[in-house]
Amino acid sequence: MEDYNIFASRVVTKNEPLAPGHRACIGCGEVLAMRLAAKAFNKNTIVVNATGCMEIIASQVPYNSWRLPWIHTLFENAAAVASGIESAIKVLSRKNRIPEEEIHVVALGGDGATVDIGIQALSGAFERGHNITYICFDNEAYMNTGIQRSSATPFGASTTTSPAGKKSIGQSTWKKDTPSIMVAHNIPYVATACPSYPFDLMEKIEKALSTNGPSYIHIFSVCPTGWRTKSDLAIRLGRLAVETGVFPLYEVENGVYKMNKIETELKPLSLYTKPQGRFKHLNDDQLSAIEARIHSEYEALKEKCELTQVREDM
Amino acid sequence: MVKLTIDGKAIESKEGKTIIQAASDNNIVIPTLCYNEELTPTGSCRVCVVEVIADGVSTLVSSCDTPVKEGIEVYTNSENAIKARKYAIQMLYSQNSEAPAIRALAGKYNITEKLPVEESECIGCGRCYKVCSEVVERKCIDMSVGGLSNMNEKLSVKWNFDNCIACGACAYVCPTHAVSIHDEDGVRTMITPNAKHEFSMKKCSDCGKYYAPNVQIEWMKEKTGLSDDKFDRCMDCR
Ligand SMILES: Cc1ncc(C[n+]2csc(CCOP(=O)(O)OP(=O)(O)O)c2C)c(N)n1
Ligand code: SF4
Ligand code: SF4
Ligand code: SF4
Ligand code: FES
Ligand SMILES: [Mg+2]
Repeated sequence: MEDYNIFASRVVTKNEPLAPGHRACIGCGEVLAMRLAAKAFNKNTIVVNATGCMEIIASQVPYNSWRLPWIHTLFENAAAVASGIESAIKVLSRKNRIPEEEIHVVALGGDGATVDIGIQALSGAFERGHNITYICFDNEAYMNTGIQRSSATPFGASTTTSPAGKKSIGQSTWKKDTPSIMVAHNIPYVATACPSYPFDLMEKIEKALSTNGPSYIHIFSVCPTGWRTKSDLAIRLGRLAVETGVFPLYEVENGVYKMNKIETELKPLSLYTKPQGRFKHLNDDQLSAIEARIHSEYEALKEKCELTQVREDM
Repeated sequence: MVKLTIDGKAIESKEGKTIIQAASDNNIVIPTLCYNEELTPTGSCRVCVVEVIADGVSTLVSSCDTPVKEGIEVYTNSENAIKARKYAIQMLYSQNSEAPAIRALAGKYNITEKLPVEESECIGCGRCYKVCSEVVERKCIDMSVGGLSNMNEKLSVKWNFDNCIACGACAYVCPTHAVSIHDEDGVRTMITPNAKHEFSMKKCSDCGKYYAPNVQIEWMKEKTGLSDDKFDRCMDCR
């Protein structure tokens, strides 16, 4: 990934489709991800938002932070509502009721909304091939309702429904590999991103929006409140998640995997876990075991890149 | 305020705004390629072409560098505008059919055939020149109208690396990736349409990672007037 670190930010659009003044916690990485994503939407975009932190903080009656058409859905049906909007646009355009122009439909959901309760609606939408972009903001638990575990919560993390204690390590299951599930739908574009790498994130959103057919972006979103960290660490922890191999950045175009940032040497996992209260109970042995699995998954991902790239070249 | 219509919609816009700005303020999207809203327009690609009717006379103009005027009627998708836009896109596609931004436009306008023009990664949009002179203020890039390539005037860009701080802003704005930066083993290599240049990078005094080109750090020191030790460490170790 190119390191555009000093001037490129000045040529990013000053347009802010997500207005300031929303009610996210101080230092929230999720709302930063949403703000950057929104900067990459164009004005012909309809936003569909499942309930969760991002919906709550941006729509306290009678206010709304969105400067784009925005619709709130239930916890579980953002993908279904997005499918319906996309289909309605097609029909209205066919009947000449609206001018023929490209309108993007983007669905937003937290990890709970996406990988747990909304997964059937999402799977259905992708299987039917709707031309929508689905963005999952993964802060690794149900934060809006008070830090309950989800299937995206990492192994060993303490949450209110997977509390660490004498007989519990915290979350006892491994994080669900949702991007792979989306790839298995044979959709044209799947990517992972993180707001600590803003140019990469915005480029991926633009790519997803210009994809013809379903696209999925899974964004790692640091949540200082739910992770029990200091509020000035969102960017650093996002970077450490990538540099330790916890959250690799990659994209999958028509089944071909490409890593956007390959670490020649992964940083020690403890750099990432230490500043976080949700991991503070883990001992060195437990951390090494987790680290070993992260490293083997990292290698497996690199292999997937090689294999699919070779297949593509054949 | 100036009164005009865009696609039949009555609009008021501040004097001095361009047609594309007025359209955008009113949620009307016009496709573009060379335009970047944070830079002054070069008006080189013609993808943003629209039909303007003023005093009964119709003309085709690039909307990114044409100011609004009282009483004009703008049509972003009239038959004439679409025809001209398709031609502009076909011209780009003929030069560079690999760049995703161009492929996306070609796909949207069903363009598959190429015109007999020379292929080149750089499509002469001028964005790199604009960013280096207007934002970075280093003026390392020369832009000139370089010969007629068949039917279109083509801009050509040329780098002077003596002034360059290897910031990569030109690579960031290039819509075809004809300029790129690559960091490896303590060296940043800049690849431009006609030259390649290597810049040594600085090592973080804590973790040992190479983190920025030396020329860039020297320039930051000069600009900020801060002491050397403020620039010793990488972003992670600071
Ligand atoms: C069917 C249903 N069950 C439960 C809720 C309550 N609820 C609202 S948001 C939320 C959790 C959201 O978690 P996530 O999707 O991860 O988003 P986050 O708040 O973490 O950003 C829950 C449980 C609901 N609105 N609907
Ligand atoms: S709880 Fe977490 S995700 Fe929700 S607004 Fe606060 S910091 Fe952001
Ligand atoms: S890398 Fe060099 S040429 Fe490019 S914008 Fe920066 S200073 Fe200018
Ligand atoms: S190098 Fe890129 S930015 Fe510069 S003129 Fe050519 S295409 Fe445009
Ligand atoms: S976008 Fe206006 S001329 Fe290129
Ligand atoms: Mg969540």
